[in-house]
Amino acid sequence: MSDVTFKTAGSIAAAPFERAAGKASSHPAAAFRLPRWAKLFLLGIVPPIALLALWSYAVHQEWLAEQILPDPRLVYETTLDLLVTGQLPAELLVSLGRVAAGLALGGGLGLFFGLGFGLFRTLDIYVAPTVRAICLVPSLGWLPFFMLVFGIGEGLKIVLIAKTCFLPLMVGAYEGIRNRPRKYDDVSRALEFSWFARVRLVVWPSILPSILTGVRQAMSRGWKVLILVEMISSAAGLGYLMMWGRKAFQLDVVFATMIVIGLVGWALDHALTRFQHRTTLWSFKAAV
Amino acid sequence: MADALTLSRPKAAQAGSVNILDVSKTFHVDDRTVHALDNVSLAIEPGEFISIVGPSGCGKSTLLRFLAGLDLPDSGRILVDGERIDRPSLKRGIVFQDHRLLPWFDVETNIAVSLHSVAGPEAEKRKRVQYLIDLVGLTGFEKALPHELSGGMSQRAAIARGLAPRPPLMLLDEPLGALDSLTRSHLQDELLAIWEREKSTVVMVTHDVEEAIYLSDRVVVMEPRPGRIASIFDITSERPRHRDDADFVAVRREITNLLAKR
Repeated sequence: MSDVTFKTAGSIAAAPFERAAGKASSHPAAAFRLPRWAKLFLLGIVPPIALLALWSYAVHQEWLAEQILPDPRLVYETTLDLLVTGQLPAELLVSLGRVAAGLALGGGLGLFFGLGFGLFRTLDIYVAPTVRAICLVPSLGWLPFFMLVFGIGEGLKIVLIAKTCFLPLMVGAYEGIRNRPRKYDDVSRALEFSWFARVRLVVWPSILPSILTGVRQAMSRGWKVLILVEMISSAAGLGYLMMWGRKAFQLDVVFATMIVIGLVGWALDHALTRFQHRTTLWSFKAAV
Repeated sequence: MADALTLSRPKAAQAGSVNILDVSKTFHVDDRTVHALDNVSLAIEPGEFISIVGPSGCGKSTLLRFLAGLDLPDSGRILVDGERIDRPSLKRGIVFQDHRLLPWFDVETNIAVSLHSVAGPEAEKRKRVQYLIDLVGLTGFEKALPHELSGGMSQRAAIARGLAPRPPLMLLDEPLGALDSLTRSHLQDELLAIWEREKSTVVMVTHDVEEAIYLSDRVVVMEPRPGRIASIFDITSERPRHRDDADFVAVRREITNLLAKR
């Protein structure tokens, strides 16, 4: 599972440039030169390699005790170990499942409320301030209360992620409705669209970019809060694995988990960004 | 709902007559009262090509929105084929100055949406869309998104969208206003060809006197504050017209002088 994830991350980075690469290599003068995607890929891995070099140097110079800052090679071996034994993929799967459930629940509700506030002025005036105030209490602020209500099982994690995912989607849908271009309303009137056709052909496509931005924000915030809540109370998941490593004073496990969390989070966000570009390409190009 | 789509030509002689009767409109902007239109009356024959010219603020665009049914006058009536306008209809196609293609749909879909509310078999609609794409010269650009088109191409697509439901009356709001002069004169000829082919009545708002004379059977000159019709010119010379013909130049001078007096 994790193996696949890493591969996906790599191919995503290269994919946008494939077309350009085809063009470049067909040029006779380009025979000596690297294809464009390879150049970009090389440039892209410079910062991580520099970071790795700094890390190795720090270990080599013993800036920090070995138990606190483990050797990159040890972390690499541990990661491989965790992969082979299947523990890392299993924990990752648990974490991804929780984020998916929280995003579906909280995001869905956020979308519903955002559209409601955007469409109905009365709701916006009387109900929205309360909802926003509730959302402004940080997720961790709700934790003690949620723990008492939902216990410390799966319910707690999903509710907390859902709460985090709610606001970005609510704001995305709301802003989408409020800022949608009104000039196309004349078009839907002149073309005698029914209410349903108006929503499907004119309103929904125009607010979709804003909603997808909300989904991306919800996903990345949900991912972060998931790790936190897994560290506090959990018997599975990436956060749990990290906590276990800390308690066992195995910092190599902690670092391995950190790297996986970062890479998977980045890959998810990148995949969503690409999806957004593909489905709402016009919004990045057109001046509406 | 509009009537079923017919690919056969409508009986041109009966369709597309317009009667504007004593239409007035007042806007209130920051405590100021603007008489956009003051007792405007105009009769348009079926199949006529009419242009409305005038300085900004003379109410020409307001009048066109009334004809489309997008706005309603304070007083007076507008009859199209004897029927009073109270809302937009597919029987009156409108082309806006900023093409207003839906940016999230490709050219084909943008034209096809104008047949969304029209009853009729899908296959026939597709045929109509393809016919129009060919007619306005966008063959090969069916799948292009509006942001990938030039200004002229966007405007062609917008004209095709307006034509798709076969409206007996076409309303053009400065359709070529934002284009460079070369594209513009090219599209003027295409507009004439389309008009002769579709046999619909055309009402076009423009600020280009030459364009109006080149295309129209009659040119309506309006003046502002309050918006009203100053004069109507019959352009009787044969098409295609030439911008350096004696009568063309004479009419142009007359209209330009009339507009310059204000």
